[in-house]
Amino acid sequence: MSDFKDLDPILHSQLRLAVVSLLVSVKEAEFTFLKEKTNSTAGNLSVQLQKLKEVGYIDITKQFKDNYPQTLCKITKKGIKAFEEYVRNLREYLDVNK
Amino acid sequence: MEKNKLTGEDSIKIIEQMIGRAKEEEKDSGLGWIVWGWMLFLASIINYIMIVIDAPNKYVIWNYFGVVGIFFMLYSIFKNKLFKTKVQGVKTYTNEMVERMGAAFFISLVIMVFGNATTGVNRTGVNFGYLLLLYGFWMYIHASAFRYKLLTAGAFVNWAGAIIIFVFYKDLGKNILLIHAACVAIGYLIPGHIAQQRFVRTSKAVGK
Repeated sequence: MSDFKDLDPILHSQLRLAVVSLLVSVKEAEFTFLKEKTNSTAGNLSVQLQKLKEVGYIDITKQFKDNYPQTLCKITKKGIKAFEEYVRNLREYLDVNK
Repeated sequence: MEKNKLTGEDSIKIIEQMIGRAKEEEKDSGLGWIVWGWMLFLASIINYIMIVIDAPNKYVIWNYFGVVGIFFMLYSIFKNKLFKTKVQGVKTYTNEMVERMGAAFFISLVIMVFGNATTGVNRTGVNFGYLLLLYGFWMYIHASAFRYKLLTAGAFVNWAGAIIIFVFYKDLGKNILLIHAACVAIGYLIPGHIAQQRFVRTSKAVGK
């Protein structure tokens, strides 16, 4: 089996890939939504979201909703491009290894 | 989710699973259909009764309804600007498209009601045919967005009602109001109540 040399290392992680796959499909999502859908812990999710934010794949907005803090996540254009590239490379990889 | 080495198959599985879970969020509570549907239904029936009993100001109910329509129009256009957007977990592109469709519907409705009044079409009863056309248009798009077949059927019923009114409006007279009420009941109320029951059931099942 060949290595995933062409696959974006930021996206090639279970939780980060799950988050980006969710955010590609929706306009924006709350932290709690991402936590529930990915079955992750709050701590791990926070760390991975921060990594995605640092590379510019997602935007994170913190605001208040009914006096409670709310964290909203949204994929950026750069994130969409990276995801599309990841899927393209993944397809090529799977075709080669058929 | 644990962090471990991913295979290509794992990645595909995660992507498919997450996109599928996001799609689960594209659901309709049916509340809007119920509120709007009952208002239209009751207004038609009240108007019909007022004609039957030969009450003064037989059509006054539609004046009140016009005010409510303008309120809905302004609310649907400006709600995101006037009130801080509150994302309930997630906001999908479908939800956003449907919101904009709602605003377009109420703008068209208010202009149509205005036009019907200024041209005198509302004195013939044909205006209800135009209204049913508009309802059908909204239902059909909404049904496609949420893959809700019952609402698609409702759209066809409303279009059929519009054709009946356009062809037989001279003979139908006040019965046009009953056709309007029946189309509203089939197009808005039945799908709306069923959608709400499903929504409540699904929400309870996922503990929301």
